[in-house]
Amino acid sequence: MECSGYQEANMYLAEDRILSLGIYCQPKAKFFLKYVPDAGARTDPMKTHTDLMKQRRRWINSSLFAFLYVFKNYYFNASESNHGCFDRYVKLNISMILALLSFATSYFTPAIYFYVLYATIAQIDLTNQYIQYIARVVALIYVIVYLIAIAGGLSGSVWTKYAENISRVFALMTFALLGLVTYNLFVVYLNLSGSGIDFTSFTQMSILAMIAVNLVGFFALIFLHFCTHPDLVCKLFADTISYWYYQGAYAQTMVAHAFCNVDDVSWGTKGSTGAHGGKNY
Amino acid sequence: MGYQGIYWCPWWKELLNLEGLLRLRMVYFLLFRCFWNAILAYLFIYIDIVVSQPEAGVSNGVNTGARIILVVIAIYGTAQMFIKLVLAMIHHIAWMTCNCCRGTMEEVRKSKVKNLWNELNN
Repeated sequence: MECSGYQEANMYLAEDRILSLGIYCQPKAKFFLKYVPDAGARTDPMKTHTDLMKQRRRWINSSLFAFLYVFKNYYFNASESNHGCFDRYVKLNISMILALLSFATSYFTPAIYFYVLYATIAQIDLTNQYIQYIARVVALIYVIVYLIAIAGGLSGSVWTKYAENISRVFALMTFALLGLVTYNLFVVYLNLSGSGIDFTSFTQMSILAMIAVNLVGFFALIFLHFCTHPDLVCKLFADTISYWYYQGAYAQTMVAHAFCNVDDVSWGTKGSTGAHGGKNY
Repeated sequence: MGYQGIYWCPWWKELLNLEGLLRLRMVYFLLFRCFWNAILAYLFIYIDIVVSQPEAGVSNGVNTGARIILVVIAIYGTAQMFIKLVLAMIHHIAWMTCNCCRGTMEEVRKSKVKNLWNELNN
């Protein structure tokens, strides 16, 4: 396929988003995309970190450019379809706002991660100088590791062989952060080891409400799916540790690598790894 | 005369190379992204650490600091999760209970795909 630039070439690697827009916005038609939880699909999983990085480079860049295309065109394209006003002006706009929020969150992930990492360590004891120094050192290590990931990403596909070490550091930080957040929630904010919860405190009450919303929502969703897909729910629990382990890699190492290789529009896996997809962009 | 490398090539000729230009543009994109992330991180630290002194957050005898940004980040994340959870539950309950949604059940779908395949190939 001839593409006018690297944006368009990347965009067509995420064909599912473009196809979804094409189906929903079919002129003079009223097609919907339905949720089908019992749909079957076969996949060829990536078995190494290197392959996963190449696959993620394709997914991250393509979904970014496909989202930008869809966000720019959905309003005009949808007006050509026969969808009703509510679908076109309310439901579709809400979906796009949610997608835009996810996009903004992923764009600012390094800043949010940096701050949460620093603040969760620092607030263990604000009066203890040693803890304040540790918080600064850990935050500095995070910045250095992220800059290494960027520098490695700019060096091209050679970096994928060594990037696993960076992902390991991020995995360690993720597990440490999980422990620290749990400690902060129960000991620092809710003060369960001291005098207990103060029901007049806005911070404590908002944290309690958020814990309740997250836990009740999560378990309600799990219970709902357990009735219809018990095997998948069991797999979800079994894979939780590896999912957490790879969170740092998904959100940081692979995003940095993908962003540094926007010009590579090859498929990246299954033998199709030609530099730049056979064309320089 | 063989290839002399960049030592005999003026820097502007290197820049005119499309791939080199794109690499420069990516570095620019990266710096742009890092810049906005750095600004945001600075704002977070300024609001939560510099402006909010530890004394401001003394609650129930424990010095927690104000940490309003942390709470805002948590509320933002929870709100997004909540919307997605509710939507996922609505879709799943609709699929479990609504007849029109169950029209996409596997058996029905199989016959539909088979019919479509036959139509396309006949």
